[in-house]
Amino acid sequence: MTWRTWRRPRRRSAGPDGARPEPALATAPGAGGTAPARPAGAVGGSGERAAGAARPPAAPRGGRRRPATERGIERRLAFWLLAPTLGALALVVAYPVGSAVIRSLFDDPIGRDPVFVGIDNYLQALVGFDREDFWAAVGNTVFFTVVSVLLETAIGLVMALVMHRAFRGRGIVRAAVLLPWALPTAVSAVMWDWMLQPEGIVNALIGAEVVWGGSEWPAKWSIIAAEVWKTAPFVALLILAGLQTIPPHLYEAAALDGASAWRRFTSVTLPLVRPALVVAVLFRTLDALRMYDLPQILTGGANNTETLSILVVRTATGELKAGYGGALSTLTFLFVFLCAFLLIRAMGANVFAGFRAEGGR
Amino acid sequence: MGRAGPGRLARALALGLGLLLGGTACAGSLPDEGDDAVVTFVATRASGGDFQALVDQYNAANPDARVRYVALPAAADAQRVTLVQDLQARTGRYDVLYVDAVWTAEFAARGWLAPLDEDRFAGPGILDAAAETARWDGRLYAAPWATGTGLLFYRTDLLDGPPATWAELIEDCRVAEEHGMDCYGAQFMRYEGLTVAFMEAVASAGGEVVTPEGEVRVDSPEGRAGLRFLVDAMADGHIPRAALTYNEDMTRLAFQRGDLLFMRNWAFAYPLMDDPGEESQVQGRFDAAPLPGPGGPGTGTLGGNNLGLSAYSSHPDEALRFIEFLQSEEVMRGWLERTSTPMAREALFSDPEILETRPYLAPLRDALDQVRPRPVTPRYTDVTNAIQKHAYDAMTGETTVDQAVTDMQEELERAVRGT
Repeated sequence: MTWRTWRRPRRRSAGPDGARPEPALATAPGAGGTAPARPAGAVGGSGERAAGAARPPAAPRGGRRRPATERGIERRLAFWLLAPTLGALALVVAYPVGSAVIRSLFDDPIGRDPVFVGIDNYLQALVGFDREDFWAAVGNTVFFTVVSVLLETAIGLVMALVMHRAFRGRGIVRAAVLLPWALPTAVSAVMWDWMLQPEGIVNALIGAEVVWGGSEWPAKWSIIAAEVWKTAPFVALLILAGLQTIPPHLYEAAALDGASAWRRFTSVTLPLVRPALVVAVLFRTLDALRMYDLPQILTGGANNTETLSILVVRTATGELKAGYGGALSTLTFLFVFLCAFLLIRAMGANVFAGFRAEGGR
Repeated sequence: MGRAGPGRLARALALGLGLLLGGTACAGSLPDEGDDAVVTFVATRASGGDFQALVDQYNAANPDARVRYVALPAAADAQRVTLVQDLQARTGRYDVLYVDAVWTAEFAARGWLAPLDEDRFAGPGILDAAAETARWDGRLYAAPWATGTGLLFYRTDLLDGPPATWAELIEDCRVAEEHGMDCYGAQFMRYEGLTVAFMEAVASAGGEVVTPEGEVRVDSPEGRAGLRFLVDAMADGHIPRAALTYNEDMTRLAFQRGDLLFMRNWAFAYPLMDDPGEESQVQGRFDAAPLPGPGGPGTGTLGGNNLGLSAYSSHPDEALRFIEFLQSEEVMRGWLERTSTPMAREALFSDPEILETRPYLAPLRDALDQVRPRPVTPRYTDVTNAIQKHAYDAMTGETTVDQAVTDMQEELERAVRGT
């Protein structure tokens, strides 16, 4: 009701307002000053909306009582503007997650309706018949994540330091370094698959006959190589952004104090680039914990390279076990959530410490 | 300025929306008989085959019951997901389904396929072995169409004839060694192909993985003998380690490069390797024979595709008429001539005209007499995953033959029980 009554006058006055953009500009800061209304901040961002919200004060007969109603109106407006987003989120996030959790408490029969089985599906994965598959997938996921994130960070840091230097052809190097990141993962996986064939270029270059997809460790290392090749540029880019915020005079001062290049790196570069580094590691870790496409295409999960995501997809969409698959995906979700939580607890404090140190300077 | 932004944005949005709508409109109208089609036929694109042409031919003769063709992805997994999603949603959008032989039982058990009339779709003239894959619980749920089984391809320029037993095959590996080639290659990558290869080995040894009654019998002397043949051949170097990464095409490429003396593959490889345009090193220098076994001819595994009628179809009568058309001898003959796929019709294996250009059909017909279908069970996906896992671990040497067979038995029993 109020939404409609508010809306009608605004529409009618849209014409004259178009001719004079000044009131909108003038009243926008005013509205913020008289009432530090959070809804306005939450909703803000569009010039048209600010102009609409500022309409009543522009009318002369509004008087002084208007701002209070205006705040109420803004709040309601904020609610209605956010409602579609919240509704969409509830529809695409809360509903599927909720129904997966509920479904995970039922069994997976063929030819009759599912029956409630409590936490049987969870027990089956954690301690029951399928525990070997589940824990192997957890182990592989953690192994791939730890090794590939460590390598990516180290290589990304080196790449960033190289790209940070001024040299001829730096633009080309920066563009070239980014190429692997620009490729879709599935495409780069197929590319690596071809290179790692028994008669592929990798074997030709190293002069050996390794069957990369034929046993556990070669398969694992080929997945890690493809993963690092693809994502190190992403890490490098984030770190490069961090490097560029370090003021050059710090290096000059350190050099004047007689600090060696290594000392300048450990005492100036590393502490100041740490916030960017932490963000990069956080992003990559969360991404790597969900790893699916690379191992799926390179090995299909053979040779003990099955990750949690592959296990979930195989169970839920391959074997059509919505209940057990739901339990697996809930466990995967909890596992990734726990990892993210621990990581943020462990490194989050450092992020803020880093920012505070920077701000203090 | 403040106005120009949203204005431009609105125009851009309108343009984007227009393009999107236009795009979907085009996509929707691509099969131009879409509007008045009564039956939707969903099938994968086959190499060399053209379902659209068949549909056009049918539509020209049946203007009252026109058919629309929807192409499925080429990969088997993706085909399955597409079909399953539609069937689970019970949309009834697809009427006639091109179903892999190994999914037929599951789809039937889930109530997704309508039962068909035995006499009409699996009567005389249709191969028994192929019809067996289309039955579930004593009833026919799909019309047998394409079929086939494994063949042993061998080099005629290096050997006098094909080996009839495993021992002869291993003995002939000396020839491969003399020529600096690998001996025997098959689909040993961990995927459906490995299930087929493993089951062929077990069946050739006289065993059975799962009986038609659903009893798991892999933990038996025959089951062990079958797996041991593969594991030993790999350990002794008769099967190259690279075969652990071979699918059907990779095996064919290795053989047509001249790297393999023997290859297990489906009939599709024959015309490709004989095609002058295919860069084949073995053109005119190979032939195909039934698979060998321990003491005589072996037993192949049956592959193929059936035509099912969706249980949610709103035009079953028209759909059945179209299935009948596809199953007619004339259409099947045309398909065989174009794609070289063996078809589930007895007459097409003995026609001298066809045999002249496709000599591999004669040994294939012999092999089909020995053939064993893959387990006909609604839990086929679980079954094949269990087989792949343990057979692969034994072949890579991760585990022993005895351990692999014991574990496989346990996991298969659970899978078949469906708990």
